Amino acid sequence: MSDAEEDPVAAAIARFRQRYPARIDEIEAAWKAGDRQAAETASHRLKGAGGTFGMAEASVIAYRLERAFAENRLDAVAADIAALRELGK
Amino acid sequence: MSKAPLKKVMLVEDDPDIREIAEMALGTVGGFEVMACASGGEALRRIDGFAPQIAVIDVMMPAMDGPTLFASLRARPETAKLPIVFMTAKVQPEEIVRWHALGAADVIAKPFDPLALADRLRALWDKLDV
Repeated sequence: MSDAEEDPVAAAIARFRQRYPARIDEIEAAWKAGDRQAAETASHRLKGAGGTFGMAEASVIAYRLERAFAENRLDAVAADIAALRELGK
Repeated sequence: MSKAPLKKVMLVEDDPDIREIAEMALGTVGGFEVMACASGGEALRRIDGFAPQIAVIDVMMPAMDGPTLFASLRARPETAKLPIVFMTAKVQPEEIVRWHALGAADVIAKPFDPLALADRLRALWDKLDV
């Protein structure tokens, strides 16, 4: 039996990891649509969720993205989104 | 007379992942009876039937944010004194001060440790004068 089958918290973490790519898609789609507010909000949510589910580095990168969208400093956004995707692999 | 132990917690969080893990942290891990709501509107509709002893409310939610829900609860005689804990990913010191000044019983930063959430709430409850 896997950890996720035995432990409901581990199961919730596993489900979060399954949905994690969709959260990055949401940030990227908003960014590419030019909707900085939506991209900032999606980044903010990932910042709060990532560390709670044991992905502290994702929270750090999401915070960087949140600030980048808030301050319209978009030069490193693509690299940070790529880094978030790497963490999900 | 000693205070009744904390048993009933209302959780209001729009993010389904956070709501699930927090509900689990408070219910499965912490042993509380939890009413989990996805919005402020749902919380206001259901709160009288549940009668929580404390509420844990996300600050940033669409439609009705945490501070607006806080004001609505304070305006109702039944919930005017309900201890309210904000959860927020905005944890700059001025934000924390702001929520305490508003009357929050505590502020929990996101990310949070799911395995420590119930203990933190229980410790807060023990300190509260309710």
